[in-house]
Amino acid sequence: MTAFHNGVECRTVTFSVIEPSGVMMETITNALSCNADPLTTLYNADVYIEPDSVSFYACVFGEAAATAHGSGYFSYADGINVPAGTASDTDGSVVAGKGTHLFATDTIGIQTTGAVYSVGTLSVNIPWLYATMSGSNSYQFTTTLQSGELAVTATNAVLTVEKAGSSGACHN
Amino acid sequence: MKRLYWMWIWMLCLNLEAGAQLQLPGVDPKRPDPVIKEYAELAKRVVGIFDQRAGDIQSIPDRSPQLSESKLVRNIKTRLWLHLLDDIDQLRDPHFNFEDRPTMRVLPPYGKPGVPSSIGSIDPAAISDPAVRREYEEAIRQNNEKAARRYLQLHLKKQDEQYTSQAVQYLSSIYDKTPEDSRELMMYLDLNLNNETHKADMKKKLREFFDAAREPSK
Repeated sequence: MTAFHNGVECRTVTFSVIEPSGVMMETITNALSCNADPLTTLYNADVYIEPDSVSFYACVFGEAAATAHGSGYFSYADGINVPAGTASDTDGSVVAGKGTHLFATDTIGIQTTGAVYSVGTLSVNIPWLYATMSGSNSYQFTTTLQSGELAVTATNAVLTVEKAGSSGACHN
Repeated sequence: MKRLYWMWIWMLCLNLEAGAQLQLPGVDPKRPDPVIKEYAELAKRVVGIFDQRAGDIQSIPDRSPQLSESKLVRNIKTRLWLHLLDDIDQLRDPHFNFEDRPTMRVLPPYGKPGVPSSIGSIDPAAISDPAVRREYEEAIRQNNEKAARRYLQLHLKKQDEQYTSQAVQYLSSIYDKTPEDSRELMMYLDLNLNNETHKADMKKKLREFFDAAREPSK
């Protein structure tokens, strides 16, 4: 590529192509929402695209559809379809140790079907895609695991949800 | 506003490319709302056109040896910069709330009738209660509209800041520090920039440049 400044050719610039390599999520403070009946855990997270050595300003990112796997209490949800999410581009900022910040948040949650609670897990491996704003194809670069674990104690049930480094927990 | 109107008409005449697997911000990949999809595609085009225009302006030689009309080139380039900044101003929403962020997944209204247990978002068709299903569909539509509008406004804000800075840099480099050049440049700003805040900001920056000429040498 040739660069110009005030109409004068400056120099030839060589670019290295660095693709997105991962997704990191961080629970937003005070964004946890709980419901006791049916037990529900819900929160919002900031999303960062790794690596943090480059800005993916001109890219758009999104989650593809996936199939959930349930066991124990969540056996009824084994095989349910999780549809694709809404695509987001970035706000252009790169945070050291995290990556390029997406302007959309991710809303992460699991709702149970209510009592009687028992131990169970519900998880889904969600493919992540990116595309350049000028391109017509998208490419999968990683998957994120969203998991829920229902634990039952003598006094209550606790539903913990985790995704790409973020987490939230609620009890009834 | 007339310029904006014709820009939109022109955009509508273009053969808009449909997205592939991954859609534009705010566009539902499975069931895209046609209005939001059109808005998002137009927004992408507008942002691209502004970037292209800025690149074209910068590629114009300032004092080509073949041109005796170097001052004319300077004046044309000045107006091109100011027209670009004015077009960006017209599309910007000064009251847009950037803190109101969209989400990548709209979760169903948990606890309401007919909402199945889920991990993440669901297909609205899975909600058996028609009223609750409509509520969920409307929540998805509002989120997608927010994402599409935020995409455009965020890029316009960045372009405004970036190209204002580049325009000021260019004008400071090409105009002489004389009262005549200062008057001419301020006149161009008055004639070509309609946003009073933007105009005042640019005048302030450029006056600092011209005033620097009058400081006594040490």
